[in-house]
Amino acid sequence: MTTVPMPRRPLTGRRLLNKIAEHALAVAFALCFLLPLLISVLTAFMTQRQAGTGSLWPSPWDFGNFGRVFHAMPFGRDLLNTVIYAALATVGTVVSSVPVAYALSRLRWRGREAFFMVVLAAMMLPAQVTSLPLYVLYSHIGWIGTLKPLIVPSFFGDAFSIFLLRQFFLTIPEELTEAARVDGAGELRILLRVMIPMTRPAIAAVGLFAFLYAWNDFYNPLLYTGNSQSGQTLAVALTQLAKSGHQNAYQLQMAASLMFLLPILVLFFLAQKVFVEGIAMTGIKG
Amino acid sequence: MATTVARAGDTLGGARRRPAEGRRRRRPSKTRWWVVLLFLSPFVIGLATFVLYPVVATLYYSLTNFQAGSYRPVRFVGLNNYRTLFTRSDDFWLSVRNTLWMVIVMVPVRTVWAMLTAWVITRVKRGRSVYRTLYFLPSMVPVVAGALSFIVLLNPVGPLNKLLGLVGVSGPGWFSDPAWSKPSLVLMALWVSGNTMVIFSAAMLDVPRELYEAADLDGAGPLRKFRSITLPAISPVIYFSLLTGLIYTFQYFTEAFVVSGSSNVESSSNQLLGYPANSLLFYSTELYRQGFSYFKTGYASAMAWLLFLAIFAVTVVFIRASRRFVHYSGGAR
Amino acid sequence: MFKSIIGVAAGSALLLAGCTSAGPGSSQPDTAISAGASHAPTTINVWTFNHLPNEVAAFKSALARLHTTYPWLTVNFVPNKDDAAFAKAVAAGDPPDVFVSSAPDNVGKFCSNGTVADLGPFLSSAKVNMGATFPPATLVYTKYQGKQCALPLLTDAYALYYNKKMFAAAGITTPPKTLSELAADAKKLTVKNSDGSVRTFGFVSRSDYNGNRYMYTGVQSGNKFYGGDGKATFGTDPKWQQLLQWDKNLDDSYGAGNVQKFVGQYQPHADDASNPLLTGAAAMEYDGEWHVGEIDAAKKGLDYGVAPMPVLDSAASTYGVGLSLGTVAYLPAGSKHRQEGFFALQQLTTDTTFLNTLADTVSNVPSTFAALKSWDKASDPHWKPFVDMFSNPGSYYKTLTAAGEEDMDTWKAFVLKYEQGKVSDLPGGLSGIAKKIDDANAQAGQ
Repeated sequence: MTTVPMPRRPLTGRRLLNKIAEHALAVAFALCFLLPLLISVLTAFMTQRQAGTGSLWPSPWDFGNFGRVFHAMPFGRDLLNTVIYAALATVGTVVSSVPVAYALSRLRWRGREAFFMVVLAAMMLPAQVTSLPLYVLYSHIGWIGTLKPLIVPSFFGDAFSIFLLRQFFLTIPEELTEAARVDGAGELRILLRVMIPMTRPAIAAVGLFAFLYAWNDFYNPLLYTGNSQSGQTLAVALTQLAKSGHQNAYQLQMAASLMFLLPILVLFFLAQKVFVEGIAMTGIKG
Repeated sequence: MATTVARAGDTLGGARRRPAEGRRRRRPSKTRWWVVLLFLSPFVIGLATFVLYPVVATLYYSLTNFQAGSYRPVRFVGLNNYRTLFTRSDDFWLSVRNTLWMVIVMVPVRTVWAMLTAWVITRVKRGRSVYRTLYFLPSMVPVVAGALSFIVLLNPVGPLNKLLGLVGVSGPGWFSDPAWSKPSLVLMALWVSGNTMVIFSAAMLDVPRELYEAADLDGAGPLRKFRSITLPAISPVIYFSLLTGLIYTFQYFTEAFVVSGSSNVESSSNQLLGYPANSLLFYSTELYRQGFSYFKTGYASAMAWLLFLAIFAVTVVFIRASRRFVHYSGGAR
Repeated sequence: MFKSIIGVAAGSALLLAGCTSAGPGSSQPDTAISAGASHAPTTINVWTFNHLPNEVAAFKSALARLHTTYPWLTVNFVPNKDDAAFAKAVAAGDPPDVFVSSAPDNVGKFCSNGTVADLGPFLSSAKVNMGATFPPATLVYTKYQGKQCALPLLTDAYALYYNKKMFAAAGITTPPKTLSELAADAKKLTVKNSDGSVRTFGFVSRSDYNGNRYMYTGVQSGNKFYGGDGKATFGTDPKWQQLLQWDKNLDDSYGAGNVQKFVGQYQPHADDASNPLLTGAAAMEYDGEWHVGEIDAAKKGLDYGVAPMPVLDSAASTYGVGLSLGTVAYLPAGSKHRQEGFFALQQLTTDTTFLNTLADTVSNVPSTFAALKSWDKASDPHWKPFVDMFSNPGSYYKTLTAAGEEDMDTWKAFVLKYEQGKVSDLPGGLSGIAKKIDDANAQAGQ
């Protein structure tokens, strides 16, 4: 994201007006983007009576909703499941995808290009196409209701991550790996000692994407664990909180949503650069 | 959404340029086969188990009357399931129509919106990163949490209609009104367009400033500058946004599922996919209903196969079309 | 990890070889356990659709009593499970031992595809006299093609709720008996605001509001969803047209936009304190008997009456009938403890104390003769119409089919389409929908 430095010019009346108009526009858009979040936050502090009525401002402020969430649903257990899923899926994706990406970018073998096309095709395949037989398969081996159908597949390589890593690996000058090879290093050693240290930001981005994907994942948990008491993840549990009781407990839902969202926001602000630049990179330069 | 969109999207950028690589320099000797196999083994096993097997099995299921969980004997029924889909299933066609509506409306509108917000970002200089963060922030919100927020925001007697009332507009029923439910989902898609916006703004900022200055000297108006300078520069991003949007919309599920299920509290706990009035019955939700509520596994498998073929066909067509309409600058890495 | 790979590989081979599920896995004979005998300690899973705290509490206390009486039986109780969740568990090979469903729509499906056990052998072994235990109306919706695949656990009926104060103010003395009287009263009771919006609706008939879809199953028009030949009657019986036209005319009299607003606003609040009958946004409403309990909980002082739902003018003689259906309890065929599961099922569905306690908690009507007799609410003016409806021989629920709830889903979608003015040819549309439902049933029965 480079900005071309511009010589500073004095602000004339018209330019000042232009600047104000630009900022007004930018602020208006920012408000549009923030409004839903703002409403969520405010609703989370409303009483049952007030939530969902169109009130914009909590009165009185009810700070108990966040605590009530823990009684309305097993939030702690669901959070733990979500963390386990996201953490293990991240590890699995990175560990299993890096070697494949390496083989696709540095090793020489017949059928490499064809294999890469297979990776691309696998990436395009929607979960809906594969889930019917997988459901039957998992049910036969007793995995339904456990976190296994969510976690285990990630240890067998993820097409998107392989693709992304391969693109990054290709940007590393061949001379470096070639030099190591001439020095007699094995491929595994080259991967661990040369490739990985040089592509750490890319691996971090892939890991981050995998983590986010798992944290947000709705379809797979709905299918494979949504039915069980013990394997519930937050994304699915939140939608069921909406239905508990005669009342629409908007305030609890919003409080729970915010708690669900918080770790992601923290992650985002900590790793904002990786995110924004990672996305920009994947978009055009991939 | 962020990841999914990025996921599908990267495909093409890379696919395009691949053949050149590896041939650029002298060819070193081939790696020993067992080393390659070692590196590939996890993925090869995964591919066989989680991709190839399901694809083949789905095709097989689709030719039977299989119902998972039922003790009824499985019979081979030939193309019956496909015949039913094409000739007798209103819901199937309704779900196709609803999905196409989203493809035709949501995908372009979202792209234009991302372009517009990116343009606003590139206009302001001071505080750009703050604005960019704010615009991008919603796309980090998990889809489920975002959908729940919008259910609160767009409640027929909720905050947004209250705000609209203040300026004298009587707001619609949003998610509860079959005529407004899909537009409401489009609104939600605009809210999470931050990732595409980031890509657009990066592309816009990459355009050398001198080009604009030269155009200024030639007396070109803003529209002309956009058409002959900005548009060619961002055409790969437009293409990227349309294609990823297309693929995403073909499998559009979570938003529709959450909105239909949560904005309708029925006395019976029956899940009402497609509420209100089946206006939100999309291809994937219908597939889920047939496959995992009614457990008509064979029938749903036929739907799954058609989806697979459709995505494949559309992608191929799109890639071919791109060669004609997308301008790639030679310098891209 | 290695184990998983082997498991997956073995599983794939097995599945590709032939994707049929194994038969029910129980090795126990289909006989009942005698209540007095000693028994090895067993834990069974009981799932129910109920999810409200008070209902869950009633279940838990009943199950605790069961455990006290029969200490060998421990129940792991799981609330908030709908039919789709149950079907998923069956497909996953891990069904509960007892499943309580909110509606009987899937009895035909679960029965015909073997998802649930035929209770016949158990019932005869336990010497349960069905006819003397359960009212006939409850057996209609628990049997499929002669097989007793479920037992009733409390029953429901739908009736017309009306605001007595508003009736008096509009000069209406008795509740309407026919649908045209209902429409006329509704128009009298409707109050519009100066801007054309509606402050009080007389009666909203749109099928996607609350339980209104049950008005369109035949009870109100004196005809049957399925004819004697098992085919849907929409194309052949003109009463369906009259019923739907009545519905659309009433809707249109308010203005379609106003009705849409009402449905959008109140649908999420059909059961809570913002219910339109309670807030005065509607003068009449069609709802199940549990609404009596909801009104008690939310607004005790409301002066309201309950009457049988009016019927189509051409079926005026049938007035007094009601749609009767109810909660049903299944014994899943794949249960690993079928005998114990049946034991719990029998206790729950026939225990008078439990039925009456649960009936009071969830505001339902008990489903055995014994429980009905000792039930203290039978003479309450709000409850009496429901009890009368049950004893009316014309009350029924539509025939259950192997396609399960698909027929109702399909019909519901059609009615909505018509209400939105998207069906230009009503007779043609009705014939088409009949064919579609027949096809679905034929396919499911294959």
